[in-house]
Amino acid sequence: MNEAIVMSPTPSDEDLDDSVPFRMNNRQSGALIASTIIGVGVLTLPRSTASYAAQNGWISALIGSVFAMLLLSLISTLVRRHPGMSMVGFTRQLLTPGRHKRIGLLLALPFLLSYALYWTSGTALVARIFGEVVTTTVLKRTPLEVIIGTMLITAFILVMHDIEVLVRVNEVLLPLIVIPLAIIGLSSLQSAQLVNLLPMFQVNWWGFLKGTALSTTSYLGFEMLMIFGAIGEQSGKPLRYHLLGVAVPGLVYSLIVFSGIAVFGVDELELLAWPTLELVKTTEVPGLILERLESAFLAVWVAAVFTTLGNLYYGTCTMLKEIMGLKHHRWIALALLPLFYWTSLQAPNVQVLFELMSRWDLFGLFNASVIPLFLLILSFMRRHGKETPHPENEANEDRAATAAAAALSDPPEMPMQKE
Amino acid sequence: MPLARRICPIFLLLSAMSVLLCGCWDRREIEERTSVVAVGIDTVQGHKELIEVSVQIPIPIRIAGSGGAGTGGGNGKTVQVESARGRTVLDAMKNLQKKLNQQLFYGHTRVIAISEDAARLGVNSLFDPFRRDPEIRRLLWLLVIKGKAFDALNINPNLEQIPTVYIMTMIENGSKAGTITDVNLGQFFIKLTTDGRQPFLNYFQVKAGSLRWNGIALFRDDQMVGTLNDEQSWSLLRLAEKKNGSNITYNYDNDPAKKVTLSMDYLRRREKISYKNDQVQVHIRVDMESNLLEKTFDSNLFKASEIKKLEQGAEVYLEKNAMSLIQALQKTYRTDALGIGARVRAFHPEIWKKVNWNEAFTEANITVDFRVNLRNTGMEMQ
Amino acid sequence: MTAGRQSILSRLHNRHQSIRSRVLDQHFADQLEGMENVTLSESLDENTKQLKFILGQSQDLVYRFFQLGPIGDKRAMLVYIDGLVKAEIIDEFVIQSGMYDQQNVPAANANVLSHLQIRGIPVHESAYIELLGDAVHAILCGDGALFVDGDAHALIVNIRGWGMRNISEPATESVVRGPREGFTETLRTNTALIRRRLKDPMLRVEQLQVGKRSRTDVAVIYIEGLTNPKIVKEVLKRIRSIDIDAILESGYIEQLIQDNGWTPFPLMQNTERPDKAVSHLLEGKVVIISDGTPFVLIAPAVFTQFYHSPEDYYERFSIGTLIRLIRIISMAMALLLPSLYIAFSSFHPEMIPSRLVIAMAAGRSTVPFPSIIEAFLMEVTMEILREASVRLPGPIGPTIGIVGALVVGQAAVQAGIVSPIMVIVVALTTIGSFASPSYSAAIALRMLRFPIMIAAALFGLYGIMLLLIIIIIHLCWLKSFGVPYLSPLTPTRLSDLKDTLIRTPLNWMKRRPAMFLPRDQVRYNKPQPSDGEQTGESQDERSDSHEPHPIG
Repeated sequence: MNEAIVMSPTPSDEDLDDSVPFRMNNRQSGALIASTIIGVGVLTLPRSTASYAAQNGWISALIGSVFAMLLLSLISTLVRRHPGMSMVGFTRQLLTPGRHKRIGLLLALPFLLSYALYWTSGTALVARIFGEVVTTTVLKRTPLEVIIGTMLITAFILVMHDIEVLVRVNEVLLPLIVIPLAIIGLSSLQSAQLVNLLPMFQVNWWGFLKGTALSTTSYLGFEMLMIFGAIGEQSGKPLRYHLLGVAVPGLVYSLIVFSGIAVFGVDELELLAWPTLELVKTTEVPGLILERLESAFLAVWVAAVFTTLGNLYYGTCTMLKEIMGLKHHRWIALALLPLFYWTSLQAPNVQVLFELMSRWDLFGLFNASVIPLFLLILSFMRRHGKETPHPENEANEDRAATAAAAALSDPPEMPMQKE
Repeated sequence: MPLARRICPIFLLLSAMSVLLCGCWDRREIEERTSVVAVGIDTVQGHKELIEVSVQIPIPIRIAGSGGAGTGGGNGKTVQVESARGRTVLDAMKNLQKKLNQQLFYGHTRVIAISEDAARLGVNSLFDPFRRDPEIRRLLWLLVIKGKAFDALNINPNLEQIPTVYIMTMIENGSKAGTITDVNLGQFFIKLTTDGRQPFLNYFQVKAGSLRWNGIALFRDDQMVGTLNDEQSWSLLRLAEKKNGSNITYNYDNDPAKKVTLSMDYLRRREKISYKNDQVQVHIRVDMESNLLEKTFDSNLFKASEIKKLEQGAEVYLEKNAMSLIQALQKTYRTDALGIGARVRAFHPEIWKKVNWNEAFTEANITVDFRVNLRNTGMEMQ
Repeated sequence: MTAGRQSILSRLHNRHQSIRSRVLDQHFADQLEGMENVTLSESLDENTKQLKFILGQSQDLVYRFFQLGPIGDKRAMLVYIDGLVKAEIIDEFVIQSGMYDQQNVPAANANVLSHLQIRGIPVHESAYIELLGDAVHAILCGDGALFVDGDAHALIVNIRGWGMRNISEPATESVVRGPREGFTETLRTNTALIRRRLKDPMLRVEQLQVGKRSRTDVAVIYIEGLTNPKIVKEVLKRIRSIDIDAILESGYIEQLIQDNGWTPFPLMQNTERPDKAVSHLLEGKVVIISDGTPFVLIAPAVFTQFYHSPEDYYERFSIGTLIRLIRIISMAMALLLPSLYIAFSSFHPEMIPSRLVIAMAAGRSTVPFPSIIEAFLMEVTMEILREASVRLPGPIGPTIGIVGALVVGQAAVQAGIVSPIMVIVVALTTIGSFASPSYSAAIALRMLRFPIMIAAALFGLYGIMLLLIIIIIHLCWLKSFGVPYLSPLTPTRLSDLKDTLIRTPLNWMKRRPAMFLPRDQVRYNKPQPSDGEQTGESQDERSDSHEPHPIG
C-alpha cells in the first residue's frame, strides 16, 4: 500500500522477544558493509589513486568499486547458499570429506586463519594509522600510545556488547560519516579547476589497471560479510543491499578523489601526505561560525575509523570464538586487546606503515577474492554431488565438532524455519 | 552480558584514571598561545646564510571590544612586531621564541610577507616548514614586499586595529573588485608543483608607513624573476584569472586631451591552441562588457558609430597592454604565468608531449583579441 | 468533586491475587494470613474486637454504633476512617436509612444485610462480604463497613470522599496551544481524563495494587486490538513482580520495572498531560497511572520522543517541524556547548575566527584557571542556582534565579574569575536544557555534560567524539520493553522517520509507528468522495459534545 512501509523491514513480534536470536535486516547489513569500508583509507585515497592513474584517478576509484561489488557478490552468494552459517561453518562443511569432521576442520583452518590474521593485522594497522594522523595533525604532543589505547578501548567496549549493538551502532553512525564526507567533497569543488582533471585516458593502461586494483583494495571491508552474513536476513533482496553497501562508499570515495584531483592537480596531490585533510583546509565557508574545519573533520573521521576498527575487532573475535567453539567471545576480546596494542606499535615510522598497509591491502584482496571464489566453486560442486548432511546426522557423528559448528549465536537451522 | 557489564566500567575507570594521572598533553589555554597573525621573511644584508623572520602579534588587551581590562585605549600600539635571525626559517622562529614568554601559535597566521630579495633567492626552502606544519593555513595570503618585509608588518593603518587585518581586507576586497590577485598559499603551492603554470604573487611597497599595491611579482619555478607594472598586471589578471582588472582609462583618438574611462565587467575568455610551423599557436579571445564611467570631451553618443569608436579604442588599448604583458612574459622573464601550458596539457596532450613547454612558451605565437561591448553610458545620455 | 470510585468486587479480587502471589515479611504475613481465612462472626462484639485488634486504637478510626430502624433490636455498626469519607453520605444514605427508613423488613433472623444492600441503603456501590480481611481492606480504602449483630457478614458501602486538588494546568509541561487540563493525584480522576478523550470501547483499564503497606492502586491502560499484547503482558508482569512496601510516586514503579537502572536516560516517559498520554496510547504504548501522583508513565519509550511535545501536532506541520528542530539544537547545546568551548579554546583555537580569538584571549587573560575549571565552576554554580530556585518559595524563586545569575555572572567577570564568553556559554547551556519538553531527558543531558567536559579537557574534539561514540553504543544497547531505544533511527524504519526529526503533515502519517508493533496499523484514511458523508457527520456531532459527563 504505502511505499515507505513496503521498503521498511517489516517488524515482527519477535523483535520484542529477547530469547529469539537477533537477525540483522538487509538495510543493516548494507550499512555494516559501508561503514566498515569507509575508514582510514579515505584520507590517503586521492594521493594513492592519482599516483597510479593520474587524472583518471576518480574513474579508477569508480571502477574499483565495481570490482569490489563483483567480489562482494561472490561472497554474498556464498553466504546465501549457506544460510545461518558464518565462514567458519560453511568452510568446514565444504571441506569435510565424507564424515571426517576433524579433517574438515583441519582443512578449513588455513583459510580461516588467513582471514583471522588479516583482520587482526588490519585492526592493528588501522589503529596505528589513526594514531599517526591524530598525533601529526591535531594532538601533536599526546603520545601515540595514548591515542591508540583510547581508540582500542572504545572499540573494546563495543566488542563487549552483543552483535545487535554492533549492527545498530554501524547503522546509526553511517549517515554521520557519509554526509560530512559528501559535503566536503562537494564544497571543496569551489576551488576546483577543470584543467586539473584533463586530459582523460592519457595514462598508460598498466598504470590505470594498477590504480584500479589499488582502489579496489580501498573498498576492502566488504569481506566482513563472510562472518556477519550468518546473522543476515534471508528474505527480501539481500544482494541488492549488500551491493548498495559498496556503492555508497564507492560514490563518496570517487567524489573525494574527483575533488582532490580537481582542486590540487595530480602533481600537487602526490606531495600531500593526507590529501583529504588538505582538501578540508582549502575549503572556506564564508560566514561560518568556525573557521578551520580540519579538526571538526577529524572528529567525524574518528567515527569512520571507529566503525572499521570495531567491526574488524568484532569479526576477529567471532571468528576465533567459532573456531575454538566457545560460547562467548568476550574473553577472546580481552586477550586480543593487548595484542592489538602491541602490534600496532611495531612499525617504526609512517613510511613503513604505508608500505605495510599496501601489503596488507594485497593480502586482503587475495582473501576477499581467491578464497570466496574457491569456496563458491566447491559449494556448487558439493551441492550438485550430494545433499548437505542433515543436522541430525551430524549430531551423532562427532560431538566436539558439532559443538563447534553450533557455537554461532544462532543455530543454522533457524533461517530454514523462517523460509 | 554480566561479564561485559562488570568489565566495561572497570576498563573505563582504569583508562580514565591513567589518562587523568598522565595529564593532558596538548591542552594549552587560549591566552597561553601567542597568536601570530603575520609572518615576514627577510634576507640579512651582509650575511648570505642568515634569514630574518618577523612576526606580528596582536596585544589582546589593547584591542577594543575584547572586554579586557584596558579597553578603550587609543594610545599604545595594538600589535607587537618581533624579529629574529637564524639559518633557516624554523631556526629563526626558535630564536624568536627566546624573546617571548608564551609559545607562538601559527594557526591564525593570515599573511606571509617575503621581501623581494628573499623571493629572488627562491622560496622552496623558505616555505618547506609551512607545507609540513598542519597549523599553517592553506588560505593565507602571500605577498612580496619591495624592500623589507619587516616594514610591511610595521605599517600603521588607522582604519583597522590590526595591520594584518588591513592587509587581508585590502586583498580580499581588491580581489573581489578584480584588481588584485588572490593567490593564497595553497594555490601558490599548486602552481609551484604543476607543470605548465608558473606562480605569481601580489607585489607591495611600503611607503611612509602605509602599504601600496605595486603590481605583480613573477616567478619562474620558485624564484622571483621580476615584476609587472599596473597595466601589465591587470592584463595578466584578465588573461590568467578571468578577473576584470580595473577600469581602463585611455586616450580617445590618440588625443591626450580626450580621455575615456570604461568599466570592465562579465569577462569571458576562450583560447584556440594549435601547433603549426614548429610553433605553438595560441589565440586568446576575451569578450567583455563595459559601462562608460567618464568622458572628458563632448561627443554624440546617440550615434552607433560613436559607440563603436569608443569600443574600438578600448580594444586597441587592451590589446596593446596584453601584448606588452606577453612580450614581458615570453621574452624578458620567460615564465608562463598565464598558465597556457596547463591548458595545452589538458586539452592538447599530443602537443604537450611533443614540446618542452618551458622552451615552447617563449617561442609560442600568442595573439590576443579583445571584444568590448559598451552597454551603458551611465545616467548621462550625452 | 466526589471521590474516585471503583468496583469493590474487582478490587477485592485483585487483592486476593496479589496477596497470594507475594512473599511478605513474616509478621505482616501472619496477620494477613489470619485475616484472610477468618470469617466474620455473627456477634457484633466479636467482630468489633477483631477489628480493634487488627486496626488498633487509631483516633481517625470511627466505630459508629446505632440501632437499625423498625427492626428495633438489631444493633448495627458502621466502621470507617474519618477524613476518607464523605459525612453527608453517611448521615443521609447510611445512618438515616438504617435508622428510620426500613420498611417491609423480613423476619428477624432473615439476612438483614443483604436486604439492606438491595433495598435499604441507597448507595451506588456496595458489596456483601464474609471475610474479615476484606472488611479491613475496604475500610482502609475509604469505604465504610456495616456490621449487623447476628449476621456473619459485612456490607461494604462506598462512602468515599476526601479532599483533593482540582484539575489544573500542569506546571511542568505547559504549552501555548493545547488543553489546560492536567492529571491530578487521584487515580479515578486520571482514568476519567483519559476516557473523556478516548471513547474507544476497546480502551482497557487494568488495575493492580502494588506495595505491601501502601496498597497503591496502579492502573495499566491500553487499547485492546491496537497495543501489542506482548508489551501489555510484559508491563503487567513487571508490575506484578514488584515487591516493595510502598509506592509513593510513579517514579518508584518506573525505577522498579525499567529495563536498566544504571543508564542516565529515561526508559519510560512521564507526563502530566492527559492529551499526551492519549496520543501515546494511540501509538501503541501502555500508560501506567499510579494513585497519588499526577505523573503517569508511558512505556515503552524511545529516545526520540523526549524532544516531542504535543504542541508539535497541534500547530501546522511546518511550525511543528521548526519547533522540533529548534528543540534538538537546544538539547545538543545543553549537552555539548561547554565541552566545545573547552575543546576550541584550549585545543583548537585555530577554529575560532581570528578576531574572536583575540577577544577571547583578552577576556581570559585575567582568569587564573584553565578553561575546564572555569567551565566546571560556572556550570556547577548554575546547577546550584537552578536547584535553589526550585526550592525557594513560589514568588521569590524566579527572581532569585535571575538575580543570582546576573549578579554572579557579572561580578565573576568583573572579578576576573571567569571570562565573558564563558558566561554566555553557561547561559546558553542552561536555556538550552530548559527548552527540552521532558524534564527527565534534560536531566540526563545535564548530567552527561560533565563527563564530556572532562573528555574535552583531555583530548579536545577527539575526546568529545570518543565519549559521544560510547554514549551512542550505550544508546544502541538500551531497550525499553523490547523496543530498541534508538528506533526508528536504528533499526531504521523510513515510515517512522516521518515523525522523528521532523513532523510531517498528519495525512502523511497514515500508519502508526511500526516500532511499537501495533496490531492496528492504520491511523489515517483519505476521505472517500462518496455519499456516506451524512452518517459520518452525525456521528461526529454525537461524539464531539463537550458536556461534562457526570462522574459516578
